This record gives sequence, C-alpha cells and structure tokens, in this order.
Amino acid sequence: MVSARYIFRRLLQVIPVLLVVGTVVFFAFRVVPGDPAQLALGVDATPEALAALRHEFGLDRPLVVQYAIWLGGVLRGDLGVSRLEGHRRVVDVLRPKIPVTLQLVVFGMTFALALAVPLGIAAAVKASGRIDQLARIVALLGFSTPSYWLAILLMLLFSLKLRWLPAGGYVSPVEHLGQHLRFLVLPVITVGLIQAASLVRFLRAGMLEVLNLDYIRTARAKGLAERTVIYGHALKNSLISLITVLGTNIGALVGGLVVTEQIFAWPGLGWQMVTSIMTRDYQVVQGAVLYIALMFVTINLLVDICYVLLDPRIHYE
Amino acid sequence: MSDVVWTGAATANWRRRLRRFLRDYVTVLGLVLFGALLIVTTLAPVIAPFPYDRFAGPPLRPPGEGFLLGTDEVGRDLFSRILYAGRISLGVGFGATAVAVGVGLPLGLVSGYFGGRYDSVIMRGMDGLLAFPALLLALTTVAVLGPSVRNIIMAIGLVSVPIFSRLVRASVLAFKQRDFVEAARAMGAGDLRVLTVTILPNCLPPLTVQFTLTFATAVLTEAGLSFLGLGIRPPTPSWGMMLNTGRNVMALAPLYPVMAGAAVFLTVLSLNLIGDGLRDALDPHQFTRT
Repeated sequence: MVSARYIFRRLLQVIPVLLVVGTVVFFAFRVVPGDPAQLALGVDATPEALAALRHEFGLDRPLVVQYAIWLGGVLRGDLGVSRLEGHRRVVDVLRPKIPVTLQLVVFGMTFALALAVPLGIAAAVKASGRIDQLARIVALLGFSTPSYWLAILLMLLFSLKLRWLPAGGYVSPVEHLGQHLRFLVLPVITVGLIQAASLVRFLRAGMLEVLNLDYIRTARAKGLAERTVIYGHALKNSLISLITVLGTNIGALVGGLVVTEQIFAWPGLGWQMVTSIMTRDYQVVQGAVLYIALMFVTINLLVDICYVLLDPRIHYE
Repeated sequence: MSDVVWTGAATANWRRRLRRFLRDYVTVLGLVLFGALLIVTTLAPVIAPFPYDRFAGPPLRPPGEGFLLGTDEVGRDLFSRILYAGRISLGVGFGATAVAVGVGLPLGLVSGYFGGRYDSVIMRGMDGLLAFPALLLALTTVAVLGPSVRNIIMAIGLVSVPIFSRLVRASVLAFKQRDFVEAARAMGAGDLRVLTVTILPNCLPPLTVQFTLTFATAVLTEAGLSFLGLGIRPPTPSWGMMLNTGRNVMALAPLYPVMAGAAVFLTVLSLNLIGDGLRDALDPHQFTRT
C-alpha cells in the first residue's frame, strides 16, 4: 500500500525542483537584453520617469535583494504584477488558465489511451500479424508528425471542407456546454493522436514481454479462456510499462501544448506564455513557466504513486 | 594490443551490422528519403526555379504557370522557398544535435568513468534539465537569449544534452570493468587514453542511434519555435514560419501550410526510420522485428 510517509517524502522532493526552476527563470530573465522600465514606457520616456519606474519595480536594488524579495513573494503565492494585462496580479492572470490547459491534458490522454490500448494489445497478441504491421506504421507516422501540421490538416478537413467543427477558439463550459465541446474536439484529437502513436509501441512491447512469462503459460495450461488470460492476467502487468511511458510522455505533451494551444487559440497556460513572450511581459512568462513546471512535477508524482498502487513489489524508501 | 584486437572484432561486427541495417527495406526507404532531402536542399540554388526572396508572380496562386506549388502571400515561389528553408532546418537540426553531443559526451564520460562526486554533481544537473519539458526549456532559452540562428541551435542543443550524457555514462559504466579496459590500463595507459581510445569507440553505436533520433526532434523543435514566431526570423525562410503564415491564408491556399508541414514531416520521418533501423541493427538482443 502507498504509505502516507512515501507521498509526503515525494512531495518534499518537489520543492527543490521548483526552487531550481524558479531560480533559473528569475536570473534568466534578469540577463534579458533590454531594460524592463524602458520596455514599459517606450523609447521617448524621460530619465526621471524611467528612474521612478525602476524604483517601483525594485530594479535599482542589488540583484540578490531582488531575488530575495521575489522568492519571498513566490512563497506567499505572489508572483508579481503583470506589466500589461491591465496591471493585474500574475496569479490572477494565470489561475483561470490552469483548468483550460488541464482539460486538454486529461481529454487528450484519455483519447490517446482509448486508441492505443486496444491497438497495442491486438498488435502484441498477433505479433507480426496484419494488425501488428498496421500498428507499427501508425506509430511511425504518428511519431514523425508535427502536432502543428496535424492540427492544420484537421482544420482543413473538418472546418474548411466539411464545416463540421470550428477551426479554433474557446467557449467556457459554464457559458455553453455544447459549444464548448465542439471547440474541444479538434485540439483533443491533435493531442491524442500524437500521444497514441508512441503509447502503442510501448504497450505492444510491454504486452509481448508479459505474454512470454511463465504465469501466462500456467494460466493457459489450466484452461482459462484466452480472453481472461489477456485481459485478466497479462494486461494488468503490462500496465506498469504503460505508466512509465505515460510519465515520460507527459513532458512532451505539456511542451507540445504550447504549440497546440497557439494554433487553436485555446487560452491555456501555453497560449498565455507565448503571448506574454511576444509582448515581453516577463513577470507573466516567469509565472507561466513556474505553473507549467508545477503541473509537470505533479503529474510525475502521480505517476510514481500509480507504480506503487499497481505493483506491490515496488517499494520506495 | 588489446585495443587492436578489439578494433578488429568491431570491424567484423560493423560489417554484419551494416548488412542487417541495409536488409530492412523500411530503413533503406528512410536513407533514400533523407538522402534525397539532403541533395535537394543542398542544391537549392541550382534546383530552385526562382529566388526565394523575390516576388515571382501574383500572391497565393495555385500550382501551375511555372509555380510547382503555387506562390505565397506576397507572390514568392513556394517550392523555391521550401527548398531554401530546408537548408536552415537541416542545418539547425544538425548543429543542435552536434552541440548536444559536444557537451553531453564529455560530461557522460567523466561522470561514468570517475564516478563519485563528479557523477552526482553532473547527473543531478542533468536531472534538473530534464525537469523542464523540452520545448518549454527551448522556448525560455530563446525568449531570454533572443531569436537568432546561433541561439536557437544553442537552445535546442541544451535541451538534448541530458539524453547524451546519460547514454554515454551508461555505456562507460558497462565497459569500464571489462577485461580489455583492464588490459589497456595494465599496459600503462592513462585515464585519458583509456577513456578516449579504449572506452569511447564502444560508446559510439548507441550514440549513432540517439544522434538520428535527436536530429529528428531538433528539426521538429526548430519548426515549432519558428511556428510560434520565436525561431528563425524573416526574411530567412523556415518551414515553421511558412506553416504559420500559411495557416493564416489556408482558406485561400490550403496547399501552402500543408506543403510546409509535409517537408517537416518527411524529414522527421526519414530520420526516425534510419534511427529505428540503426537500433535494430546494433542491438543484438532485439530480434522482434520481422
């Protein structure tokens, strides 16, 4: 069983990672060429106005002091104030974006699993058969397809040609659930198809390995139906390898979302980050990086906990 | 002497591996595809019917009238631009992978060979890099350094350093206790010689696989950055940027973004095919492929 102590210890490990990410991001954006005050006020600002704004931003203090102030703020959940976005607090700008992004992660992954699990099993059960060949081709093609290209192909087909679905945009589910779902379809397919491609390969490999083990032979020998052997016995154990891939893929997924969100004008964290990089609103960029890293680390933590839940032989000390 | 004997065995191995590598038609397809892409983009000045940066005709023409793929939003020949963009994309991809190997390889060698404190410092640093999603790290680096071809190569290279250092470290750990390494040391070879002459050649096979796969990812990442407007800057053409501008006019000229994306797709596909084939040819434990 997963002990509370283990979860607590893993939670503690999250802190240094976030601290490193935060520190790197803080100093990275301090060496950005260009003075933030100058950027905020434009080229024809008076030196007095510049000095005043620098003082307001705390830019006239030593770097270490700035860092200490910033870190203190982060620990209290204060990520500073956006230079644009109506001078709102960074936290207020970013917080509503989190569920929007998480939606894509959750639905995209669900779609990917729904595709990959049956295909992976079928490919492994009849290795080198026709389905296996098909799975290999699908995986190779999917693995090489840029998400932004897939998105454009889907838009051309379903939005411009067939006119079934909107090409991009977002409607909040509170506002209109039906519309919301229509906007959700293409981004989810984009995310899901690409994920499915790499999941299939690993699921097939994991399943093949398990199918060759003695306990499967025993199960068959004692006359269990092939169905029970595959779904009851083999699948459960090959889930371990699936979870591993899920964990490593989440990074690519979260990174890829930056692009997918941009294409579909899906106003999540990635979209906000790119928008803020464009407008040089670095406070928001810093915050967005932190949030995305936090999401990444949390998902990895959940994956590790899943390991222990699935395989009682795995112990963490 | 041990070096020589080992190298001899390795050559025989290489010949067998090469044969296995070329037997797989999928791998050959990848090689042919990549070779064709390399030739076509290298010879862009000869092949391209129009200069990539001059107006050649009316904007957003469909294919025909001398324009193989039509024209872009300001009337430049799309085909010529895709060819020229390929030089940048392949160049950045190769450069970034070279940076990753250049940094990752020595780190992995030191980490695996000397172990102890070196190992823990280097590997914890690599873990830190891996804690970032790759594209996010590249994006942040470019946002900080500013978009230029050199910075993009650096950013994408940096992201891939941990893969190489881990890979090399694992190989070094596997080989450093082996008899032929012991023999080299007994014959008086110093650490540097043992590392570079005795151990390093044995780390190369898995490295070649990773090189092609990382090359593919680097091309994808560059196109992604340029697509977001944070990569290659106009007037230099790049596939990612063409996808982005093409997307805005896709109702009028659907072929525009589709072709730019197809170029990325074919490049990445060919590299993945080669990488896959290499892995199967080099890994004696893997006989799963038919």
